[in-house]
Amino acid sequence: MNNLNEQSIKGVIRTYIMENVNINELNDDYDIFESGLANSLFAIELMTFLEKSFDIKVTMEDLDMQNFKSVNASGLFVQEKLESGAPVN
Amino acid sequence: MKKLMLMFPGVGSQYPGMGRSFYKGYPVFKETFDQASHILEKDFTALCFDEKNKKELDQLENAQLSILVHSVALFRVFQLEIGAPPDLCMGHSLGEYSALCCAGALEFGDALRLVRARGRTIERVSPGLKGTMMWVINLEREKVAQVCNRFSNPGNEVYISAYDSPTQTSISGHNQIVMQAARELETMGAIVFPLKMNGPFHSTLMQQAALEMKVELEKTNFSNPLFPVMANHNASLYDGKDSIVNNLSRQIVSPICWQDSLTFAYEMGIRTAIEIGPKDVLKFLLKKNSNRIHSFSMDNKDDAKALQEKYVLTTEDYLPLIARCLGAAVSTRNFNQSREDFHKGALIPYRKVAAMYEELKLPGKKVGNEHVGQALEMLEAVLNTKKVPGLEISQWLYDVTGGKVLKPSHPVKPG
Repeated sequence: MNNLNEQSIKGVIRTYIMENVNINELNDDYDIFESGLANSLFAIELMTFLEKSFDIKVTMEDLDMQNFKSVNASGLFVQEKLESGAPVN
Repeated sequence: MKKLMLMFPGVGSQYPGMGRSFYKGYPVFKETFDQASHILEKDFTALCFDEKNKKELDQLENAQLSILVHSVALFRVFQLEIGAPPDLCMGHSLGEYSALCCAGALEFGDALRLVRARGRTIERVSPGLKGTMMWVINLEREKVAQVCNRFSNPGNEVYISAYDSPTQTSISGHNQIVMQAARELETMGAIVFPLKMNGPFHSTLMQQAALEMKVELEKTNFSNPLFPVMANHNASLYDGKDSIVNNLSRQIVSPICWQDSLTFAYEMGIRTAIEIGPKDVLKFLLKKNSNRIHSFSMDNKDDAKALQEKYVLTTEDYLPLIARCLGAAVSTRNFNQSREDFHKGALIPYRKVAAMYEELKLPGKKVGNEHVGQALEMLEAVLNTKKVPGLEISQWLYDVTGGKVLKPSHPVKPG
């Protein structure tokens, strides 16, 4: 987990979003929900993906769309989870 | 034969702007919205189309009504543009009312009044119950059930309130115990999503609401549905209009058996599902349950176009189709001993269409709906005369059209 840097985290997230949502290019600040590109159901898919990929846990407190609205936001969310060393299941 | 089902969404599918382009593009959609606005004295266009009204739209009674209106309006567009007859209909929670209305069991005006009553009853009864509902995702339903059983006790109850997929359920119950169960479910690997709703919906705690709703339902006139409709509470088919009061009252206090309904659909031969209403939540949910049923959302432009290509015969198809009807009429074996019957019921109709076909092949001749209709009628008549078994006749009719339909010229209005 420690050798995961900001860029590689974002890279993984960016790839996932692009593969699952209908776009060819993705700016890291682009709000995928506001734009209507993705809905709340996709948000859950994304959360599930982040949990599995980075071995973190998404709890009820984390369920703010702001945490997942863009590649940057999701990347920051993951980093903070990893750094806080929050225990997983 | 590959069968078709229609799915009608429930609360949560509403969104600002929903229906705006359909309203502009389809008179029949506009009429439905305007009719609803007139009956309930509520401006549905402002409510649904104006982004500024998002908060109002999300309020339970408005959300329920808007989804109903949008679904019925979109169904009328579906009938106009695609018109494939459904073999089954099902609706998620509120969506069951849309399904019944579109299946002709419930008139639109009555559906509006019932759904409004449902919203008001729920909003009135819920606050006193001090309960809530949450989604539980990524954990098997059996494990969720075990947790609910373990935690629930009289006065502090928590139950499964929806079975949406093998790893997606909802739980409902008293606030504190639901929260405790949620924490436990999180440690077991679930993502728990508190819903914006403020009540323990689809659990026995809603008993009072069910009783009040029953009174409203008993005042309403129902008709037998024109297509089979599934009931949420027991994942079984409605058994005519007399089962409506019971099914809809029970729905309020029972978990939604959506996964089992989808299993039923698959087992009866459904291979295509079309979501009729705003967004695509049910299309998404179906994919979590099965990749053997192809799902579409009528609210999605690309899907709607794909459906037209899949289901609707184009004029290029007409002449080859007529030729196939003639071929099928000839190539089937005759079981009718009577020469007179055969002459009258098979030979004559066949020759008539064969002559029509020869004429239509001439340059400058336009082949229309009515010619195809005649060819299909002829085929059915010939096969009946030949005493071909009924199931085989259906198969032949399906085969010559490739499972497609003739675009209707006079669609039937529901309700």
